Amino acid sequence: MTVSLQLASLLRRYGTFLGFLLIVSFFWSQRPETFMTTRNWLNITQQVSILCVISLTMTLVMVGGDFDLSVGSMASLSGMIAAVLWQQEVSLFGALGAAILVGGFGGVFNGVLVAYAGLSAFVATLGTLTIFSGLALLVSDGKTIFGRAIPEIVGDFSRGGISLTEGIQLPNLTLIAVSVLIFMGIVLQNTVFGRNLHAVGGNREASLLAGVPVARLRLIAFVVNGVGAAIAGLMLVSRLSSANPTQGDGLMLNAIASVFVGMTMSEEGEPNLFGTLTGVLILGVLSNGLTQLRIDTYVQQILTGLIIIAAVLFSRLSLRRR
Amino acid sequence: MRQNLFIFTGILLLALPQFLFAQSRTLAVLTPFLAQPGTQLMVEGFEAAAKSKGWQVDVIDTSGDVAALVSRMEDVALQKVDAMVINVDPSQIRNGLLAAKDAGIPVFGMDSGADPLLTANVTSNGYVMAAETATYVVDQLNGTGNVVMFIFEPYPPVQKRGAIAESIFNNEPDIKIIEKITPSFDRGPLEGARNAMEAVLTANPTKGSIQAIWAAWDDPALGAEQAIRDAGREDEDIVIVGIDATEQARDRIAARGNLKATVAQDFNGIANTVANTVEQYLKSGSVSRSQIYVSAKLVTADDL
Amino acid sequence: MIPFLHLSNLQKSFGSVPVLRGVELTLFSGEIHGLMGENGAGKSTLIKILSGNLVADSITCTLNGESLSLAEARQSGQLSMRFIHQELNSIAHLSVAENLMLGKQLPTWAKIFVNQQKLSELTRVALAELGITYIDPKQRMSHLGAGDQMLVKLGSAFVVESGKPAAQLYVLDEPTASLMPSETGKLFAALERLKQKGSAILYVSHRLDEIFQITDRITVLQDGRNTMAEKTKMLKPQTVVEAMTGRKISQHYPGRSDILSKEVLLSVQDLRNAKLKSLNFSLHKGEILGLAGLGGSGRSEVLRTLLGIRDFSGTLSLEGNPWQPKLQNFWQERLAFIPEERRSEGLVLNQTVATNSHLPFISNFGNFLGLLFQQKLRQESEEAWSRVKVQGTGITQRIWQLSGGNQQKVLFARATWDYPKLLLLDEPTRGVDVGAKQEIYSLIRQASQEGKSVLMVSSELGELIGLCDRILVLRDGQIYHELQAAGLREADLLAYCQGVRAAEITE
Repeated sequence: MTVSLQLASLLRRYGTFLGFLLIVSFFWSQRPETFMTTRNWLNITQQVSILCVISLTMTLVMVGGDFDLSVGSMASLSGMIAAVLWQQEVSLFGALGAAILVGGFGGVFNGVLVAYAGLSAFVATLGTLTIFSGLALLVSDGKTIFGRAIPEIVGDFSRGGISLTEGIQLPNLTLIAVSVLIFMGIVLQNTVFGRNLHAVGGNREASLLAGVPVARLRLIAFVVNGVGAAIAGLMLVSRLSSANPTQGDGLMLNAIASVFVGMTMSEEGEPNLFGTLTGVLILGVLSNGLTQLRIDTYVQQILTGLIIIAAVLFSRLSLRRR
Repeated sequence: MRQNLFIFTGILLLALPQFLFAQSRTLAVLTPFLAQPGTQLMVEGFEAAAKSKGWQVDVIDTSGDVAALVSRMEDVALQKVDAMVINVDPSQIRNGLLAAKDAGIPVFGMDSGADPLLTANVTSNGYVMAAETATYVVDQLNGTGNVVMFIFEPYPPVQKRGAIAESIFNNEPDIKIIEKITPSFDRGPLEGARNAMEAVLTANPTKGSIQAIWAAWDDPALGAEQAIRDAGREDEDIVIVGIDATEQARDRIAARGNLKATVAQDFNGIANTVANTVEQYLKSGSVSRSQIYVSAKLVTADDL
Repeated sequence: MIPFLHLSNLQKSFGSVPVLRGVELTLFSGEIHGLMGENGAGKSTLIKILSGNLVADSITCTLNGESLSLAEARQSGQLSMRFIHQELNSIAHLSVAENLMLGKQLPTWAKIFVNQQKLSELTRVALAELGITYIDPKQRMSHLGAGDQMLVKLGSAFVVESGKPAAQLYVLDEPTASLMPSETGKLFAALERLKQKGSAILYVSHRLDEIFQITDRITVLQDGRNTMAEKTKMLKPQTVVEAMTGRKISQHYPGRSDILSKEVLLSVQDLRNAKLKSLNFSLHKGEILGLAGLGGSGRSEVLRTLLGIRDFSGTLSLEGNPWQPKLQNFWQERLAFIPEERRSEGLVLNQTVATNSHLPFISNFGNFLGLLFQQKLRQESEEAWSRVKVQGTGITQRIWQLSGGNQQKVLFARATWDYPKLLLLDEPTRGVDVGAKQEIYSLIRQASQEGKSVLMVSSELGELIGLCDRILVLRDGQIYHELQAAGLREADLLAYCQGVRAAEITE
């Protein structure tokens, strides 16, 4: 391999990350006194933590070659379930457990439809998206639950963290996202399940003929994703100290965008955690930095969209050249 | 090629803030609801007032995403703006309010809701607005008749209106509330209310079985009026009232149909009052009251 | 007589592998010309060059005696051709007429609206060429039977498009593969009519009987060379078969062991399903058993049934115990399989060599939590890698970067990973270069010497004869012959596969 080819390959793999660094250095140069501060970065990690969790578990589903559109409404639903249970004076952990259980069941439902009943993931999860959304409205009666109904500790949790130095703390939500990242990293790289799932995503037919339990693996991926969505939903309740039947809905598109941006960062264009994390951070840093630069919020949206397309386009172009 | 795009983006970003440099007060207006007409009017009014006071204003809209609004509040707090103005239920953005408090930045509610973390909140008095239309109905009916109510419990400011109207009707011995309806939002509240009203009309087929319709805001009032026209029962003189005085509602009232009255929130007044309150705070470091009401006005055909 | 189209000195290589080495083809108007050859002889490459999908490395071309390039002839409209392929997929939810006109200019009103009436009319005329009058052009394709669908696809070659010259040359590639005899009859009648009208027809088929029934002339290719170009009536089936197999560059096959174990590993009794009719055979330990037959004879179906992905009835036993094949348990029972379609059914192309070699066994390397013993897995992958002598940079290389032969060797690493008792091989050397073939033969033979039994399907008859101990000949899902491979002539085996009677062969 010649040097230039190697360079091209490196550029393709880390081009998106390079882009991320460019964005960061740009904001740094524009807002030297506030952007590159520990506090701002901890802020950013906290702001993206919820999207991060949902994107990481979405990565798992997409590694297996599937897709899940229902994560956003599942986040809304599980958060709502917890809030409604707290309202009815169920214990703190009882409600949390129930919410996560609901996420798991939603995942089972998705997984059975896709992996066993053979529906296309797009159609099946589009259906469950609507179902979960409807359930969230149903259990809440369309109302936002806030105030005393939400245990104080829930709201306090998202404001708390591990103190690093005077006045600066590592937020709890960030810690959750980091834990999920580590967990998913181990699952995808170091477990039988993860390695098999990579194969399933790479070639379902070949995996089947190699005796890999394809349907079961896909189901498990959906269940993990459902639980991930539920955790994200609970984090959202904590962050807003309230639960609203539609508050998680926007997460889905951003999660998918993050995974797609991240897919540009692997040799073969497959979903990967480091890439997804970069995608999440790009979205987070863009919102944070552009707000600090006082760019109009609508222009922010357009720029974000353009950057996503540019990243994917770039990797496609360089892939074709191969 | 992506590098080019970054450079392009960079130039774009570099260029934009240059227009904005000026040694003056900087304020941020944050809301997830900029697409709503009322919010729009208030934000425009506030921008105009701010301009006359020589302030820089950034408007941040998160298109319905409250979590993103919290994040943006954190970002703005870091930028050390002089004040933030919000139009969102404060109980849902505690984290953002606390970030502002930590940064020592005052936050003002513009028709948002009372909260101890707000320096002040300026709003119309929802109780008063509901009382205006409810008493209008009672007067028109001479204290006797059947009333259908369109309410919306999930949103606290609107829920208040329903509660006050209900107690006024209940206080009148000869007025009976025959239905309380929360319209479905699936295809918009107007359509939802129309469908619900059609059902009510079908259930009450006799002429004169319904005397009035009280709606907590204008959309269901308009929907109900359409249903009555479609059913050919506009000659029964059913009195319909709404709240908020939207453009559409004003048109219908002016046409002298069944829709008789609505209440105009003084959005411009709210915006100006917020601007004045902010100014007072920036000068003196305190405000006279934390909950400030701006009066609203009943609008009937004679006013148009 | 001046030939309509004459191609000579036709050369084409893929990389360093020559596929056509100086082929000549002479087509006359008003004649049906049969093109025959074994798999890999170069027939499809020749057709692709004709259609313009491939460009020849060198070629001399004359059209009606005038020399010009193929591309010129096509573009100027002097050479107008129609192609009918074996696998033309129809679109079930479109009408017959729309399927027939797929990719062609639809008749229109005002150049915008489809002229349905004209469309139906064109379709009716085209189908009438095939003698078909009972298919309604407006009918949905999905309402037709499989045979009728095939006929409609054939019909698309007979569409007369306005503004385009009528076709002078029809090229049919195995058109009867999925036709019933009665439908084949209709096709032949249509070809006969075209021939009367003066069209030239190039007819590619494996089926000797068809070739002798309808062609006027036969060209045989073998290893990219002409071995025969003759009028059909001068030929006998046996001579054609000889020309197809001929004296090839002799492959060197590893010597087989003289003594065969008496122990039976797998016994199959009265195996039936939709495509198989009462199969009986047994496979001994250390034996290499070949399954020969034409495409569609049920060869691969036998392997798929043993893999546990087909319903069947019958009695199977493995090592003397009754056995019910199940795909989930297949590899864990120390059975191994190499599929026919390496890329779509065998490999996970975006993964590493290591992952591809241990894919069925990943779960053997996890602890109770499912965490992998990475070290052990890597070590064993390295061993497997060196066992099959893959040429590449190492086990972390992505598998798509390897050549077909090396990819196939990785599949052998997988197949021999867990000391299997039985290897099911479907076309184990398809798309593999000569050198790698040799190594794969050694791997198969080595497996058998280690006592592993092999059941292999191959279209390369020489390979079956050179490698197997016994060969079963399948036709229409039935075993017609059981042959000892040693001393078998390739021409005879081909004749058996094609259903030429035993008497004719010994003749």
